[in-house]
Amino acid sequence: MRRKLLFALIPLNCLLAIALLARVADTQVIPRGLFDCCKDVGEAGYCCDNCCWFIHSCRSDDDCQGVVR
Amino acid sequence: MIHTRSSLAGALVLLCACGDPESPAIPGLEVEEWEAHSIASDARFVDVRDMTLIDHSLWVLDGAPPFLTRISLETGKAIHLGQEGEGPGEFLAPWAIQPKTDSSGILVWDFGVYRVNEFDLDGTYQGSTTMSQTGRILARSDFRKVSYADPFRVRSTPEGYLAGSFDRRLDHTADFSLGVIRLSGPSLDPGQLVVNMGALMVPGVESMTEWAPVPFWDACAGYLTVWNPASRVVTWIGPNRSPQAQVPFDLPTGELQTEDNERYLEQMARLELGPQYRNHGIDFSTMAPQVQGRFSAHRPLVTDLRCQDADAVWLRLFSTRDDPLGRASEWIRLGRNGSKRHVRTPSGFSPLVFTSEGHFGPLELVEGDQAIARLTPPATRFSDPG
Repeated sequence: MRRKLLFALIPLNCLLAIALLARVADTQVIPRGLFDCCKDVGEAGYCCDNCCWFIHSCRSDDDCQGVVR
Repeated sequence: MIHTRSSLAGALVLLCACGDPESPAIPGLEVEEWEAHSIASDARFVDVRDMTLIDHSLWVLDGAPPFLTRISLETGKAIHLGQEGEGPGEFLAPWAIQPKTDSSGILVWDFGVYRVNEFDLDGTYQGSTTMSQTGRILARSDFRKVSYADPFRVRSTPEGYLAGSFDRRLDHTADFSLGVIRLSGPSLDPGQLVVNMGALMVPGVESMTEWAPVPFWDACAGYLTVWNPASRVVTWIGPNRSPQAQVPFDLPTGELQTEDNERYLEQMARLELGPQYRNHGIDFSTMAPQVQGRFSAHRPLVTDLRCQDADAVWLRLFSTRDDPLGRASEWIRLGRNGSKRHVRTPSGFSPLVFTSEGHFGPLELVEGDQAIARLTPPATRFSDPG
């Protein structure tokens, strides 16, 4: 009986491990606060210093030309 | 034992009060619940940015085509006037609308193509001029989605047009410390300096902190009214540019709470990561204390100022209960004689125009779009709201 229970728990543990790994992949966004990111003023795109909390999308204004926002 | 229990209960009550997202109350002053009623029931909008009332017509500037709409207050009929484009009379990113100084027409400032379009009072396009290179307001196009401050405000006065003038691009709320209010021509060429906003900032505010208390201003009936966040005083400045009256308005606001910062951060996640931002598994309650240094230490008191006439202004209080950027549904009517009224508006209603004919603004609808509504006290519908 105990052996059957152990065998039954093995696939459940595998499922749990997969779920935990998937959770790690979801949390690649590390919210540390204030990154440079692409914004626009009127018609011109530019790299906005410390304007985003979650994404880091530019290092210079050149990175932001043609960026779809 | 009983004493211990009562102490514990007292501590819990204190904890609850600390996290209260409500606006501060004025002792002895009743909060009036006012009602908003839709006008022009068939007109729908996406992102109303500015409005002005002239000759019994309400002109509404939207952030999406057709951009410009005129609503008759007498008939409720709406006429849509604008169209998208970069040519004369077309709009790309319009932000401000005002009557001409002689009230003979309407001017619309487009900060996307830096052009001022003129229409007559029937809505017929009259011509356009390019905005002054040095008078352009440079601010990130999503500024009003990340801050309660308003860099795009233009006001018409008999002497000219009042507008903010900034030495550099506006990226953060506290960048208002770099600004002044100038009296200019319609192209906003930098004219006479009227108010130095940096001189009104709370000393020690760091430029990177969010929810920095900033000045707010408006103009009505020949008076420029300015909220000074450092002294917590509203000043009426007359046509001769000298202060005519100063009325203090002060309430204890307390420290910014973790809940305030959590709501702001969640709004930023929605803005940056899109509607599926929850899939990223961000723990806002853990993040908020970690980035507390990015926020002001104390809650601001005022998040907008709108004047009604020469004798009264309306001050919007701070609360994150209805809006993650802190724009509360509660307003204080402050008279030049020091009188006060505390009014709560329906959730989702943002009054932009305060007049003796009513207070008008966009009302968020369940469907996700906006209608224009009139705010009145409950017992005096469609009469003078005072």
